[in-house]
Amino acid sequence: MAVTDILPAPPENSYLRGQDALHRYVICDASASAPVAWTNLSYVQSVVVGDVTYGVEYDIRHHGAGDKTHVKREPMWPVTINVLNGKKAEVLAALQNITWSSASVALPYHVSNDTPDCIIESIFREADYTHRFSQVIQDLIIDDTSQGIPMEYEDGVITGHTYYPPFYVYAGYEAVYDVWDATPTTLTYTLSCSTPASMVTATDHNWWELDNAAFVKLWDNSADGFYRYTTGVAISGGTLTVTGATPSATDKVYTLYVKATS
Amino acid sequence: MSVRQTHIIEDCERCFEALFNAKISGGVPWSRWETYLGFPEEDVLSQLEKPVIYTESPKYIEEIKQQGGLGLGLYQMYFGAWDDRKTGGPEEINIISSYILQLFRNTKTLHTTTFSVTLGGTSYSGKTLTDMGIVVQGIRDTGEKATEDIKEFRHEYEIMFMA
Repeated sequence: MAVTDILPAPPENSYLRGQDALHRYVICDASASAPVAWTNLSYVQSVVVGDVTYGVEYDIRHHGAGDKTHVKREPMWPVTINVLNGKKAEVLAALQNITWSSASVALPYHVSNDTPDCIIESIFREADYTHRFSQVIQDLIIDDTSQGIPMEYEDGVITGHTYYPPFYVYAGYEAVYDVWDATPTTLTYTLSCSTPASMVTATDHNWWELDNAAFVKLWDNSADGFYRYTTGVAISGGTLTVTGATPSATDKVYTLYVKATS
Repeated sequence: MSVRQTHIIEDCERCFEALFNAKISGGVPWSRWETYLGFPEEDVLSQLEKPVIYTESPKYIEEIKQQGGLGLGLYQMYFGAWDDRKTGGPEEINIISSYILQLFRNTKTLHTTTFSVTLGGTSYSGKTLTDMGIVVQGIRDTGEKATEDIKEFRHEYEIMFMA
């Protein structure tokens, strides 16, 4: 490399346009199905993951003038979804899995819990819709909303956040969400794909518990809450095995992983 | 939506012509005027018996986009009113202008006025602009247009619509 180097022109596929991107979602607490079918998201103008913030961030110092340790915990990524304003309420209801129709006409602005609503996969494509890469927003929680209708057109804005890192997915791969009703006597669950992709290498396990799944999660019915397995689960080939605490019959098991696009 | 994307220019123009025809069928003062699809050249104009409201082909302006697929087209269209010595004074063209503005500025009336139109051999009866997949965003008066004869009066308007 020399200081006089001239770079070649970037390839055409360096330039991606939002209009070619496709967004689709699954509801986190979907009915048992392997796989859960993704639903395409219409009317989207943009999906933006903002800068991470940390609920707890501080330095640990000690006497003796040694190096300090910087601690960052409780990350949160804000997410903004802009949609055509006439469809905002429809999209808002869909992402929260709320029936908003003549049978149930009220859609509250207020969200009363902090539990995950949906997973959004944004598929970034070239002009001929060749897949370039994707972005997966896992366990997105939709926030309280607001509404305006100014004289000049403005998009409808839906905001949310996630406590788990969004991630890119390489070209030619797509996210898969499998959900099972738990079976206490059976510790293995068959993935809908027999060959899940290796997602991260062991040395890149930053916040990841498995190298071939973003998460394996349990709905603990007795505790009325979700929790992510950090130990006691493994995925080998197309089989998910729970080796630790076994779920109860009223529990559900969820996993998000990636496979090669068929 | 009934306007055909493969014939969007022609179909939209025909819908607006049909809208004006519906108003003309409704009685005075509209019945004092007639319509013409396209710009009326001199030989056409001389054959007409009444002041004319003419339509010109819509022009595609931009896309109202969404990510992931097709968008909605935004179009610009000109139409005009021309009184070539049919009445002899400027009063009638002013009345035509006023009624056109009233029609297009009252968005509810505009989008609930029914008309009949034939597109590609298929007849549609009792349809509104909305039924046909057209929503007008606004009208602008582009002003009086020059004519060779000072006793002729011509005025044009520009509308923007989605289809």
